[in-house]
Amino acid sequence: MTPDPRELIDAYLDDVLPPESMAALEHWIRAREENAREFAMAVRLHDRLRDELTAASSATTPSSRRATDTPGARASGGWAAWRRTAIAGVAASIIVSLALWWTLSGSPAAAAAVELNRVIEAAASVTDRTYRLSLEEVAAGRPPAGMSDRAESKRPPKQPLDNAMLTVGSGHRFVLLRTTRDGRPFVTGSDGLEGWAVRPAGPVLVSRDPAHFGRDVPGHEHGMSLVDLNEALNQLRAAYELRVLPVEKAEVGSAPASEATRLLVGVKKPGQRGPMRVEVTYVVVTGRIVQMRFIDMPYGPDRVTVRLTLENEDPRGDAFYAHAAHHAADRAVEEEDQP
Amino acid sequence: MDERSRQATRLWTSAQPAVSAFLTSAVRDFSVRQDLLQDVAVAVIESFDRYDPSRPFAAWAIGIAQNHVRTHLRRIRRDRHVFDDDTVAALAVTFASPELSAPEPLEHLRDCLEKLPPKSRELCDLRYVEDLKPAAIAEVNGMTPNSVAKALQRIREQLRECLERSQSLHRGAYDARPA
Repeated sequence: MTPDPRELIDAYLDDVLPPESMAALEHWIRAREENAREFAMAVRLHDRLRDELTAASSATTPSSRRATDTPGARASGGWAAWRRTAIAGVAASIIVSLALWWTLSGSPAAAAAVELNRVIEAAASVTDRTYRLSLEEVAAGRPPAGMSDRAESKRPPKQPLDNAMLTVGSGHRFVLLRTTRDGRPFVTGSDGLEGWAVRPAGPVLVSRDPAHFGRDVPGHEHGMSLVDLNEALNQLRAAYELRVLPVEKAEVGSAPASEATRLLVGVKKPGQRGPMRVEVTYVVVTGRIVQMRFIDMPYGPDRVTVRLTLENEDPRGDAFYAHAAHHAADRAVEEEDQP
Repeated sequence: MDERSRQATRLWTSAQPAVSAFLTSAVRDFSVRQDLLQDVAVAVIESFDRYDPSRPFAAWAIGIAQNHVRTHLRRIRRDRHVFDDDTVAALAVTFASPELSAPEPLEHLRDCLEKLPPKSRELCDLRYVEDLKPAAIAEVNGMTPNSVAKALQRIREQLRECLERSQSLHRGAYDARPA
């Protein structure tokens, strides 16, 4: 019985074609141009499915993937996000080739700039993201001369950053959840209109200056505030020498080992403010940042190396950034005196 | 970027889907395809000055890809059953043809994927995202390998039909074949 060519093609694509049938497939392909064309069309669809579905899958975060993991959830929705990012993913693979082009043309800085643009674009498409902060190194410093005259010197010592959770949203909104040295939660944030601090005890403090309690978020002192990722990444472009390091396949943050990641490294130019070195790990296909390291970053009187690992990109809603979401309704609220 | 570089970038961007599909037709393995695609991109970039603009660019790029494929298949031919050089050459000509090397619209494929039933979508994810073969998929979802292979065949057929219908509608003609 002559095997069905369509079955031969599908078996070949799925790598289940018996060796004895390989000759039959080859003979069929070479018999007529129409056969070769039919085979090529099947392969083209097969190849495109790989790119489309891989890009779409890379675009979903672990938590959102869980939410869409049931047949009902998949059928009912969640396609808008992957539809958008599937376009970005396929385009990104093309742009990766362009970056390679520039690199080989003798312009690694240009290649890094292309990659940074992709990362910035990918970051702009997400509204809320939550990071875990890890303090890798602290170099204790003495306050510089004249420190006693500065407003910073009047503030209480900063609470520990290690294992803090930082959620940032559009419009300079943020929530920073830390644990005090005695194990109690200390939450600061801003909803874009006012800044606030929910301390372990005592009234909630609120300020009409939305940035008032943002001083505990690393980077604010030197134009690389993590509250505004877009601003921080643009600062990277302006004040840092950039390089792109090779693709890795290892589990990084929320990116599983199956997703190739790349490292974008920035070394501060002389005379510029900010950490000495910044490392951004991002998913190659989508440009999505999964981890950032800020090495030798000024933080109060100290210099720290802090790592931010993306935990999720779950939408939080406006209410999350207001202080009321983080304390009991009957807690006293006081307006902080401005210095 | 100078005008020549811009032109080369534009041409490669257009030709890449056809080159990628040609590579897949010969090597099947997606990660091997990706490695070869990078190698071909490098080779195209390095030899762009030798490209004759009177020839179709896709055909020229696929010619470069064919060399890479031959080298790769020569290395693995002892261990795997792969196409011979004549078949690869015939496929290179086919993929370089204007019809197959023209960029195709993506929107229709995404829409057609959305119409797949959830179970079919899951199979596609296992095959194309996780890169599992039918036997491995069968272990995951309790089907037999043969059932998985048949299901994938049906899914591809459904997608092909959906694409044909969508493209007909897009062109203004109506295809009345049942789904």
